[in-house]
Amino acid sequence: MTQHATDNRIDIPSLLVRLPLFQALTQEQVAHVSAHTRSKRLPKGEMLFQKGDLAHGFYVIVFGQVKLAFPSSNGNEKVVEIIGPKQSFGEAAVFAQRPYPVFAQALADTLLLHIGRDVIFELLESDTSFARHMLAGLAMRMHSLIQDVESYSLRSSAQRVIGYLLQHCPNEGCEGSIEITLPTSKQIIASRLNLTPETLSRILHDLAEAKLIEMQGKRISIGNLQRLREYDF
Amino acid sequence: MTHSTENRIDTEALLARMPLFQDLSSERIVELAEHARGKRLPKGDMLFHKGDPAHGFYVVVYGQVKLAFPSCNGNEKVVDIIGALQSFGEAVMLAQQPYPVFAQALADSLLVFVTRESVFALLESEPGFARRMLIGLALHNHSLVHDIESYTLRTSTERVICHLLHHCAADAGDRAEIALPTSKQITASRLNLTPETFSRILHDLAEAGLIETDGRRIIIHSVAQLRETIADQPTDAQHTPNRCGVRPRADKRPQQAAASKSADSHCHAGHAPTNHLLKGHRFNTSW
Repeated sequence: MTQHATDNRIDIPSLLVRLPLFQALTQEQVAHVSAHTRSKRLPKGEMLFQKGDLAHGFYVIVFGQVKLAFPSSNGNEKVVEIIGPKQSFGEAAVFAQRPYPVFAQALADTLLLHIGRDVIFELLESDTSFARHMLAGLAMRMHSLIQDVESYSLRSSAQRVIGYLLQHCPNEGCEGSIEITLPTSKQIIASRLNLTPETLSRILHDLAEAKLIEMQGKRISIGNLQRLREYDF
Repeated sequence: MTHSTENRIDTEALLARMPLFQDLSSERIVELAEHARGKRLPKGDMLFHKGDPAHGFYVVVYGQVKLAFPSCNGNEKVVDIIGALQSFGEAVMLAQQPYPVFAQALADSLLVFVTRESVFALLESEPGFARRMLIGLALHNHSLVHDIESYTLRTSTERVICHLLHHCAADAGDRAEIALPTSKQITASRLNLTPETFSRILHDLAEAGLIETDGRRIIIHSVAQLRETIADQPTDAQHTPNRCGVRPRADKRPQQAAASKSADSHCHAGHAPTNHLLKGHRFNTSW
């Protein structure tokens, strides 16, 4: 165990029960999981793990933001995912028993929980609803990876940007207007969408010119979702 | 249901051979087989379309099925090619989402369809089953992440070489002969390349004396040399260049869990740490 475990200002059980994955657990189970969970503060810019490191458990974000990315020697790293509060990552590396295929770095000052592998395996054996939750979570992750593959291979740059903006709709067919705040810098979002920062800026600018969006720094308002969805590029 | 007793015995034997169901008792296998359906799919026939609801998952007994995204201009994108004893559709079934891809037979195929209800029943009754299922999903997840890395950061040539190396048996000698499991067009789409680019690269590799092609048969003169062509960049001491995720021969990493789903997953096993890729080759054409 590390020095993080002694950070007793952090009430792990009460953080755990707020996470969807652990909500249905009994108090006893939560206490058991807490005993195998440690908190970790990760200042902005710090690495959590490197590609190729071994996974001993998975992480949940309490607050802050972490990026998962592939490194590249020429500095063009590729951001695979941006993880925010209450979201988890690293489950697949635990279950596949493979080293991490990406590195993880804090995009903001972040507080994480690390839940040990053994206690997860114990819960899987003893609690079928937990197992179903875990399966559904991993299945949803796969589903969104597949959509990424589709997006990278078949969608134009503009389609990818519009698709990303529309993801912030509260529900599938929502209409009217919406105001969103980009969760991170435009550079990171560009990499997430496999675009250069210049291309992303140009597309956002074009969309603003076409009066489909209005931009103010990280805040973007979409006047008419229907129009943006049907925009012909 | 129309299957004969003989057909049902086949289903049981098949299901028992799947890594996912390996730990199940024979009673459980019989129950599972009772609710499973055989389905013959002639070459070229569609199994499901993108957007169809998923009520279970499929196991390929024999034949070959492609999973792909349709595209209005006809340039479909092949996501996966599923062969005998491999399964597909588990994640979609569990996520309770419509299919994100369509499935079409590349050869005359026999499939077994396992219903969601029987999977859920197993999750309730067999504690070890969830773990197996999670391992399968997690491995599949890793191979998708690997694909994304390949599409976004590898050059066309790197992707072709990695694909060839994936088809080499781990214990084969330095000279290897492989048979591409499907047509060059489908393989090209799987690698996110145009058929022309794929052919050109194979031609270049042949010109360079690294391989010899004969239809779908490809002879690799020296596996080590082929691997070196994508690994000849300077390396730092503790990180082996391993751009394909192919385990270097000298690597003494322990064997990974045998529950792997995809045929080429042995190539991802023992993923050595890689913290750099070829310099100056960010791939971004073809999108």
